[in-house]
Amino acid sequence: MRKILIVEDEKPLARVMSLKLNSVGYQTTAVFNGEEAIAILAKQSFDLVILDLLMPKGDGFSVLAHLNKSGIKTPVIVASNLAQQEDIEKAKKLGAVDYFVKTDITLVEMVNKVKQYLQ
Amino acid sequence: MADKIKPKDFENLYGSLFDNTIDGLAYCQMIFAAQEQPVDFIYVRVNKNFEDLTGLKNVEGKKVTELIPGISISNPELFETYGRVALGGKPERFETYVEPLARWFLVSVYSPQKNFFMAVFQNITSQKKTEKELANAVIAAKNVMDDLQAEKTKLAEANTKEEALVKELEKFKLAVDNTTDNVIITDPEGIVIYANRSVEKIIGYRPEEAIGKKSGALWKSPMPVEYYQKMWDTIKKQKKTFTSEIQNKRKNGEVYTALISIYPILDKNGEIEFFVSVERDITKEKEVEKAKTEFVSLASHQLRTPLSTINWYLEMLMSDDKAKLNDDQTEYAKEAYLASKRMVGLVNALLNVSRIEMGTFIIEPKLINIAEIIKAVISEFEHKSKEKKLEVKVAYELSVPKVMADPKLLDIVCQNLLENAINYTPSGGKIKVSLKSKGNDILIIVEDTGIGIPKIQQPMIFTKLFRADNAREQKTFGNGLGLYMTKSIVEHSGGKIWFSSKGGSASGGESGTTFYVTIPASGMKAKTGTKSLT
Repeated sequence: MRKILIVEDEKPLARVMSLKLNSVGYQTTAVFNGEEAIAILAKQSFDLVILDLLMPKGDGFSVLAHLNKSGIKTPVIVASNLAQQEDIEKAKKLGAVDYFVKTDITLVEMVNKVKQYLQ
Repeated sequence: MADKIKPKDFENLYGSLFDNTIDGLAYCQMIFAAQEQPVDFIYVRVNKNFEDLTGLKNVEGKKVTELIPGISISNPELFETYGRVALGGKPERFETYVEPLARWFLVSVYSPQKNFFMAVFQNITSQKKTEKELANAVIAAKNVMDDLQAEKTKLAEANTKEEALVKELEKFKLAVDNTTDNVIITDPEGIVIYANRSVEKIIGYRPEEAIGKKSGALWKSPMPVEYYQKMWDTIKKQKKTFTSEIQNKRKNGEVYTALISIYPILDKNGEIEFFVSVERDITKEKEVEKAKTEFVSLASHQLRTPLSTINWYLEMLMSDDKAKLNDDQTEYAKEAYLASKRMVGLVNALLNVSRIEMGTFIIEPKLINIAEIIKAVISEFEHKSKEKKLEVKVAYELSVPKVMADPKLLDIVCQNLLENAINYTPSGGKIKVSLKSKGNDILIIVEDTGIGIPKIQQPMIFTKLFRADNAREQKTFGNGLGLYMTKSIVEHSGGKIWFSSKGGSASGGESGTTFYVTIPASGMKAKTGTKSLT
């Protein structure tokens, strides 16, 4: 079973993503800030990371930078409500494979994106 | 001794006195015409000095009119005076100028016997000359005095003027000294010759510290070399004003943002005499501006977060796999979901409007095919137009070339126009989107058979947050930002937007609206900024 790490400080959002991804057959782990994400990535390996950007204790950019530095190659999809071009570009520069704005897509569309990177 | 002198001796004595006195002496007999009119006189006897004084020689026995021709014309008063005295009048003393001799004489005249007179002369020409010179000197002196006085008055006036000028200058200097902008004047080499007080406030150098220094040395500017090359090229070579936003460093190393304007002052020959630099510290304004954009970005992020939660849980609720809702419940959830979607649209629109109004949005033209953008937008709304049974037609002129345009902005424009057409056209209506070349423009036309725009409200249709009455009455969703945003985008990128509408009424009917948008065939105007529209 493919393992997905969800990094999202808004707990109801982390939960609904997990529910949907579980329902289509993925195993999910949710953490609520950047520090926790870095800690768990050091111990476990995942097939994909869904990463929020604005979080307390280590934002998404710092997680991306850490992954780069430690050579972890896990693909990262950024799921943020920051919709500015410069944030998108910054995240992609730091190695994010995709970027979506949560309000702009449905859960079904989100699942389709995930599938795309886990085939 | 007198009693020893004999009468004969007297005669000798007088004779020698007569001959040797320094005055000129002339003993003359007056000649009268009828009625005792004195007309001439004969020199009976003159002394030696008479000849010296008058310059006349061998005068004895001769008439004065023979000796000095013209005297009766030049000195008629002489004859009158002598005649008066010779006829027994009192002795007289007078000064006279004898023009034919060009001499001045002081004359004393008396008559020892009737018809005769004795004239005693002194040549006072040199005295007179001195007097005249003196008089002239006095006049000259007076003139000089007058001139001096005039000069003095002029000088006083000039002083007053100069004082006024100085005062005026003082006023200006005071104003410049105390203005909140930083004002520096340099010589053509850039050496500071004046700095106002704001220089201290903004850069941190007291005017005395700044004066005499090379202006560039005052700031350790972080701007690139090319920037300064461009600046010097503008002010020194082209002799034009250079205006720009600049990053500078204060004396304490702090970087600040300023609006700077530097211009050369030219002399009569067009050579640079001074450079004047006026700088305004806009660091605070920039911070406020940044805070504003950051606030809007952050606020829209914060608004989106609960909206995504609502959207996704409603989606879960409505999805077939999990939910076990009855038809009514599904419908209620759908309404809530649609409202939430509208809220997302509103948040995005507000963010865009704030970026448009703050001028922070970017226009990045790329070579694109407009028809493809229109196609994509139409397919985006396919579901909705099918639902309303609208016939959507397209008409693209094949000759329309690719054009430099910002695909994102064009997308927003087309989306708004098509969405309006779909929203405000009753079921079964028609929509037609055309693309044409027209002159120097590319023309996009979106035509519908919808409810139209009431005539009286047509002038307000592009106003922010405005919605036409019939649009409201239809209860169609809308936030009143779409056309405002569309117009702003079109106009900022060098195009035009207008429409025609038959009027429209709340009851619907055959009205229809056609929107026209032009994009210059030469391309959209690029615009730098910090934010792109979404």
